[in-house]
Amino acid sequence: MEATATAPASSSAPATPRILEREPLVLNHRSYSWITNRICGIVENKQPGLWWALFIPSVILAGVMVFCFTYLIAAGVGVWGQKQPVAWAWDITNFVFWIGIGHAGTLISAILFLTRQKWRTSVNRAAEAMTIFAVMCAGVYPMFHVGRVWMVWFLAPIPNANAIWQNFKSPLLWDVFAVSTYFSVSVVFWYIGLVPDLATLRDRCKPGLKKLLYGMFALGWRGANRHWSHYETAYMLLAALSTPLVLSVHSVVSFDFATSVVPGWHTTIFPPYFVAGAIFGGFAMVLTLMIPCRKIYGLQDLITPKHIDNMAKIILLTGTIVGYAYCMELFMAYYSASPYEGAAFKLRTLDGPSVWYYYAMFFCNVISPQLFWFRWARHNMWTVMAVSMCVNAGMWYERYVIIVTTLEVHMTPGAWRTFHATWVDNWTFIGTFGFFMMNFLLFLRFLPVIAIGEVKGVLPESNPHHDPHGEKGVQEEDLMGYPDRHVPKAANA
Amino acid sequence: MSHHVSIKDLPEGGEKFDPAKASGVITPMLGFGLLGLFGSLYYFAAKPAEFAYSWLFAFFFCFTFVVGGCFWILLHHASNSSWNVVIRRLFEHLANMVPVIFIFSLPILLMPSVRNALYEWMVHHQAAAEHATNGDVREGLHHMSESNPHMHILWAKYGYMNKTFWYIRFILYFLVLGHIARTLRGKSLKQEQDGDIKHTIKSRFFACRWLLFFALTATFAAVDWLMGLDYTWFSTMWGVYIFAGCAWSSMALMLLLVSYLRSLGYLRKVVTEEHYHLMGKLLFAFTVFWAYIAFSQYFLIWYANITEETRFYLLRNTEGWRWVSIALVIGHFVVPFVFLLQQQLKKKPAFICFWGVWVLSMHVLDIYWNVIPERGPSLGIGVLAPGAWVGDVVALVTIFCLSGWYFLRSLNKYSLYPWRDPRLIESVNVVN
Amino acid sequence: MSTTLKRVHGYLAEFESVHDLYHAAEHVRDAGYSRWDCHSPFPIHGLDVAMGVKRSKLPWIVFFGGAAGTTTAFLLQWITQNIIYPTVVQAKPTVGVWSLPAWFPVMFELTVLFSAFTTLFGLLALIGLPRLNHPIFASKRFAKFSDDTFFVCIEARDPKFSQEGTKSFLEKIGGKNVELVEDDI
Repeated sequence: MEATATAPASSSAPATPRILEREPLVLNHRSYSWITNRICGIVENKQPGLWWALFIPSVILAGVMVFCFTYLIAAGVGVWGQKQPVAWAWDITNFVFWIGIGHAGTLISAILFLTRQKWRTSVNRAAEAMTIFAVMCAGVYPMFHVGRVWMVWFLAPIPNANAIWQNFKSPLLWDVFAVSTYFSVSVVFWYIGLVPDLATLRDRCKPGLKKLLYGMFALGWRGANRHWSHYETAYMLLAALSTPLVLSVHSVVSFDFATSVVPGWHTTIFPPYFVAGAIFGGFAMVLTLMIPCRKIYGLQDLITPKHIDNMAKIILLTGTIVGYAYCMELFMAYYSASPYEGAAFKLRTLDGPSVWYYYAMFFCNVISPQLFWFRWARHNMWTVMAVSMCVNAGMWYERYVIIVTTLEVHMTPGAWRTFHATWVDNWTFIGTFGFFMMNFLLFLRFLPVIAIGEVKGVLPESNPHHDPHGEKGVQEEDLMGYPDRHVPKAANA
Repeated sequence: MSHHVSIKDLPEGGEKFDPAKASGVITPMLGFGLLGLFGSLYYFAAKPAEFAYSWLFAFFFCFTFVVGGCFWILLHHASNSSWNVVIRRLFEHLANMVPVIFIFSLPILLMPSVRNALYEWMVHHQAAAEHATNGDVREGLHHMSESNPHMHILWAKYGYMNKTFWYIRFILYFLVLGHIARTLRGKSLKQEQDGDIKHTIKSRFFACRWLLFFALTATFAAVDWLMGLDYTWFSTMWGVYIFAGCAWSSMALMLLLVSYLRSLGYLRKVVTEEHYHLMGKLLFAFTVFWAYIAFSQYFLIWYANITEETRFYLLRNTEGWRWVSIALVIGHFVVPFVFLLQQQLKKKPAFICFWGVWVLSMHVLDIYWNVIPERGPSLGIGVLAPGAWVGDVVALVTIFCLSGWYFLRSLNKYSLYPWRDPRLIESVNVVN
Repeated sequence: MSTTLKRVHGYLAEFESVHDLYHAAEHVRDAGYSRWDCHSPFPIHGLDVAMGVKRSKLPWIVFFGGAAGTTTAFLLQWITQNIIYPTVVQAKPTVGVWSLPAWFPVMFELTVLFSAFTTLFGLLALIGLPRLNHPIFASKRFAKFSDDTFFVCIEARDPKFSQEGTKSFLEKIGGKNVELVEDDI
């Protein structure tokens, strides 16, 4: 105690800092009203030209998707390239791809909430929106893959004239429950999060149709603490529900494969491996969307390099977990000494017809994220974008490798056949990107892209016990003398 | 809302543990441990084959705490978190039990009678060496597989499953864990000397780099020591399954340890009910995670129903083991899940300690259920090997009590929490 | 619509910072008011304690919602798979409970689904929203609650409310622009 007693009063820092401070989550000491104005401004002001330049092609591509599905209904599922033995091809690949993308949204909104990662507030809204749109893109594939899409209601357990009931022992039925639950819960979660921000938009509008609509969806929110108290409990409950849900959804998707006896599909690590892969791919998509967004709309103070850095680290971590799973699969194929497992992986990696997909996957998912070991790579937006793009592609390759290349060389060599995608396959897939982008751009246009209330809540002054005169510490960037460290601008109005 | 604690409120130099205060636990632990040791020596001499399983069970049970300790300090640093600074030193000590656990692994490493009783493949390798013309095991296995197709499996995976590599890996696991534990505690202690914040950041770099090696170590240790009990069985999920139990049980042990130290008057200023709540939440999280992994593994094998894989669960879902399996589902998951679900209860030390004890006993059951069912069929002494459970208890008492005794005694060397950690204040004042 | 009859809703006071609001809430709580509330653009950690608000009962409601989901899923599968439409597939027991592991996914999903909707509707029921209007919106200044201003509102229904006393009380604890909120009847 003597040493500290002689130290100067706590308001001035001691000679050597004793506290390692956290990085600020909002840069340049922005005020509450700055945050409100900046985020609401996106919705209230005219959209930049780039928005239109992206929106119009997206709408056209979404139209192409609609056309492709119409053509498929008219002509039959045969317009897709799948034939025996590849009965599942691009449709299921794309289904798994899209649903996986959604998972990052739930991870950010639910798991990072439960683990008290405050930085999530700047990206969760957009990521949740992305989740919903991605699940919509995913849902259409199995719907049309059933063949007669107008019979799709047979998937629901409701009494019908044939007195037939679903087979609840089938993984495909679990998928129906998992995906529809996931979609519903994600929408609820997203909407509950939106309510206070819709109130903000409502309060800024002039009377008119807009105010009426925002007001309706804001439910008459008045920011009362007696409401916040229940609201926060509800939010926590939804986060706690979504966390196992997100694990279950991709686990159930993995059960589609892993419950079978197909070598290369049946392996016990599939559930967590699929979940890690989904989060991995989803974060890449979040970065792909948010890096341009923060630039175009001037959100650099809210989505800071620290946010990008954190997401890059999650990509590195999950990419390495995915790599672990790839290696465990290979190892167990060897260790099991099962000739079928061995052959499946040999054909996948060495002498099958689609070997290059495996290496493309391995490079994109395991090798390319290793760049994120370096700080400069995490802080250079171009490298982050490049790796994210790699991961987006790599996760598609992964599903292709698992689904298509496994089936191409299934048990009977006489029946082997290499899959070739048709133009309908191609354009349907491209079309879903259009549909996805269209929805996302509309979201940017009409709803607050960043959770306004939540970002305000993580400012230091939002803590009633915040002591602005407490002992000052040092930030890691200054301590380590990183060359690109952030220097705050003088506070401005 | 408790009072905000600042650096000035905490004693310079942290808190030092006085083993004399804990003699009520330390002395009996030594006593029981020594008694157990004599019992173990007797069993090693009298029934080495049966007792080998008991020893593996007890050794692996204690090994999981070391793995868990390493995991929690690695996670703490890699995730750049702060809440657990106040309990990190205890985890560091737990991880640094590696050399002690290594000593207890020596019977498995060095005694052929123990090794051969546990790992049938080693017996087959010996037979193959005798069978082959020039002592080449691989060639011998190849010959033997003509009459016994199972030997083909051993031939096919000879590159991994051979004695030399097995020895190397055995040592390597301890080296990796020991290196992680020593380095991270070393940096933490060095910071206590010089107060340099950079140690915190360098620890993070180190932890990130070594997480992967840690994962591989935990996985392959589980493969070699437990999965290897039946050389025909395999599951890609195995490493994750064992890891889930490690993290779960070591958190429970930590809850008990922290509560015990608090009851002696230590850590009162730094560990609050918020820390109990956080530890309780992690205990809950890993309850669910273990269930998820265990269910997935069981479920996929049950559903696909392939002969190569089902043996593991056939053994454990028949005869008396069926009831153990059901007890695990209920006791390892359902019951703690329901009780730990309640937020307010997790802030009550007495409540959470009860569940700590519960978790540890379920973890014992889990490891028991993984190791012991192999004993009867492998040694040909009936499914349940009557009377062998005495040896299991003796082995558990020996290893747990002796390592516990050593652990508590060595607590006094350093402060009980890293008192110069730059995030200590953030940790003490954590609210969640 | 312009009627001279107005109903007093209560006094609304502004506060500039979270810190001020927090301490004001403590004062109002200690003064024994019961029908009052704080309004803020974001939830404030610890304000429940400062206001003396009890923990939400929502988790209990949701627990039973979830249990209803599990039960529904179990019965749905039990009845269809065992009684109405048993099918011999997947080499699993057709009748009886030993196909239970295969029912877990749906049981889990419906538990989450029911819980989530219970959370949503339970929340709305507990906070009494949506509603078309609220007297507090009569205040022009109140629109800033969703931007950067913090309010305390003590309602006229409070037994301790008094036209003079409450106003001066709010001013004493640091409230700015103390305003009598009245809305048209």
